Amino acid sequence: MARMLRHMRPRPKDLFSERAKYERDARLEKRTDTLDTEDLILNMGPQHPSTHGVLRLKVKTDGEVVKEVIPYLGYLHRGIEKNCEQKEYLQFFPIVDRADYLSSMFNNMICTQAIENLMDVEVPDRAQWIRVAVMELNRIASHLLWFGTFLLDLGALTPFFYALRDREDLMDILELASGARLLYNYIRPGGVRSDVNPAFIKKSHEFVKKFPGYIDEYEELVTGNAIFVERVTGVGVISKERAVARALSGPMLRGSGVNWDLRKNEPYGAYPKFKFDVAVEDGCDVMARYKVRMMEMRQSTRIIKQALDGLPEGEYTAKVPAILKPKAGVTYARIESPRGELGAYLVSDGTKKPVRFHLRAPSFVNLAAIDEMGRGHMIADLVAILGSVDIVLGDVDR
Amino acid sequence: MSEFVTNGILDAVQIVPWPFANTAILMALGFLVCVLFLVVTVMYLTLIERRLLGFIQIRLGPNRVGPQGILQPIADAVKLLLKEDIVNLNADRLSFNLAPAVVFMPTILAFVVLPFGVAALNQTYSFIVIKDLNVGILYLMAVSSYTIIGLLMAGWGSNNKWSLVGAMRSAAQIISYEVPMVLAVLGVVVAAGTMSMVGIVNAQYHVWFFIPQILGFLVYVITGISETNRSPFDLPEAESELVAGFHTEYSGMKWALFFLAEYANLFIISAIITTLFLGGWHGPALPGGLGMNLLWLTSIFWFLAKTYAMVFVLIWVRATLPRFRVDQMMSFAWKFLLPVALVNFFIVALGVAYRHPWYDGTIMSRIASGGEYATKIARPNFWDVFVVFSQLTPEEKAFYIVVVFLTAVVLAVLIGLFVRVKQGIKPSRELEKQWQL
Repeated sequence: MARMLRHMRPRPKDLFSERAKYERDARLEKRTDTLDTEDLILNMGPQHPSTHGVLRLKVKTDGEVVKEVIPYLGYLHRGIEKNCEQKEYLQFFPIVDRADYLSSMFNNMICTQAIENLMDVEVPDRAQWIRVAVMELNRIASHLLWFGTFLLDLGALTPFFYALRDREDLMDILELASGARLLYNYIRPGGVRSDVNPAFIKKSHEFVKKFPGYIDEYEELVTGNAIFVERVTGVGVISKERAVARALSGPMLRGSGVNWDLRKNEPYGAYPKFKFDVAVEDGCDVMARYKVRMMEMRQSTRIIKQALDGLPEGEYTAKVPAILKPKAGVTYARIESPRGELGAYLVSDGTKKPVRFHLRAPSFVNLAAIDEMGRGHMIADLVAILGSVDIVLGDVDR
Repeated sequence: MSEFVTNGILDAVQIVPWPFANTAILMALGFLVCVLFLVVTVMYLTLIERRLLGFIQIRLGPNRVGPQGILQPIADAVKLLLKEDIVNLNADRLSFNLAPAVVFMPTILAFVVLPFGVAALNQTYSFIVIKDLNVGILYLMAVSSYTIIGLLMAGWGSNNKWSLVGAMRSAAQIISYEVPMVLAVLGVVVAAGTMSMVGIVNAQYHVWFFIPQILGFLVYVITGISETNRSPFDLPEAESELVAGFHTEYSGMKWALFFLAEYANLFIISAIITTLFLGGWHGPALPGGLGMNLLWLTSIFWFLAKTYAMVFVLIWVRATLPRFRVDQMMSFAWKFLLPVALVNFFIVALGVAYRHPWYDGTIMSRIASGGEYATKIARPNFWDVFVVFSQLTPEEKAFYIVVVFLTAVVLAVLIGLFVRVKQGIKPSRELEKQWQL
């Protein structure tokens, strides 16, 4: 009937309007009746109960099956880079802390690396080892929160509380070192802001002794759980080549079988002196990334134990002037944060304020891949995939 | 309740001299007692759930509002009553406003046939139920199907895509899980020979039905959790991306009705599981311990104890397991639970055909003719089945031996798994040796 009457139907004369494109698509799909079956456009709005922050995802679905995912960002943009460009170098650190607020030591470290690349300052051994120890403690804290919220998104209410209980211990330890629980402002060019005290070392030893037992507990309850395994295997697959093409980094990349960890491939600080393995899995799906992060927590515990046992004596910081004036130049520094490759691009002209400062945020780049990972899955899987990317909106939006 | 009352008290008690008024007043009192019981149970179930969930999650639940949080449900009720009742601009008003009532109705209706206990008065046994329909189970299955209509009304009337998706999922879930549920119940009905709830409890005086019909028991528990939309089947309501599913747009007392319906359903499912599989009001000390005068007390105690034990298990399951995805849930129902329920029914059919005492389908006719039951109720003898063994025909003996052997195998597997798990899947120990920390 539609075929008979099509001569009387108003047809678009141009080639590129929405209606023309829609009709071309319909013909390509060989639909003989252009019955207006629209895709259901669902908005996982800026406020949603998956505790990732203010992220808006526009999801085009065909019933339950996702056809396209478009993230809308910027709800947490605070102008960190612009703010930093108007301040002296030592004033960066409290601001940049708040970029990836769950791994604040790494934000500090990346700025420090960038500045130290342009200055010639000899960081003492003790400071470098302390830096490694607190960074790995922060990595465990970040992964624990990821673990709790990931499982909360999947519906398991209890592991969240257990993860936060352990995270409280970690925050107490880091408070003994830096004075703050979440936004540390601790790692500075030259070293660290203050020395660690014996209480920190004692508490860290206790933590390292009991934490592997806790990870075993979590793995026992979660990794073998049939419901969890079914929800998570085969979901959010991104192959090795596509992962590299999308410039993914961190557990996303290592979960797809690529053995790339900046701590081993481009070592910085005191990392060459530590013995640890890189967690790599070949699954390419959400389960593989889960396993990578659980193994990373264990490896971090190993690193912390080595750091505490072998902490050298000495100064906790080198002598740096109060107003830093690095050499004129351009540098890009990168480190391995819990989310992936965190980078800082710094252009300096020898004065006390930078010309350009840019943070390369791992969550921003990793988030771009959810379109590819989410197509063909269902809405419930999209939540699992988003959880496995481990985004922090402060990092995405800066 | 009214049977109890009319059998016993009515003849003895005369409140007012007019004949029908007595019945009317006592029935009204009975009704009030039931409603009060329902309301108090549901309110305190919410408190129990929140505190239990808290303990499992290494935190305390609400414990501020009264001593140990006893007044918390009252505070919640007051708050919800005083909340503004928001109706969406484009909502379908009839559906939207009626849906909570349609969802709550089956819950109250289901209370009618739950047998709470038995009392011995004037040389007869009176059963503590509101009305012992002789199609009790059929009535329950029929009445619980009304919930779907209410959910669909809620999802449609909210004028919200997310609510609609939630309601659709919920309808599909409930309909799929009704089939294995009915098959599991069918096994019980055939074994007991009657559909009346009281009859089913009576039929369990030898052995509670969860032992001969362990598969049916497991199937019924799982489908029961699914029918009440509880975790791990709570896709339609508490999923992180559906906000709250079909009851997103409800506020105040209407939302409270959905909430109460869920908790009342929890109680009812546990009560039905107790009645069908866990022996109803039978219990070890019943009734010889305290004498026939207090039979009503001990039987109600055992019924409620078993029901609350089942409630504890269901809350524990909620705290522990993650959620299913829609298609996984459907395939679980159709491809796994349905065949298991059919296997269970096959076993029951074999048992009934070979007159195994565990599956005796003629029990009600034997009770009706008196004699055996009247003496057995006083001392339920669990070991009867072994006494009777020597009197079985060879086929019955063979069947019995096969059943015992299979049970032993299943138990051995479960115990072995348990021991292996306890021994420890502790990867950190092996890794520490490897890393020589």
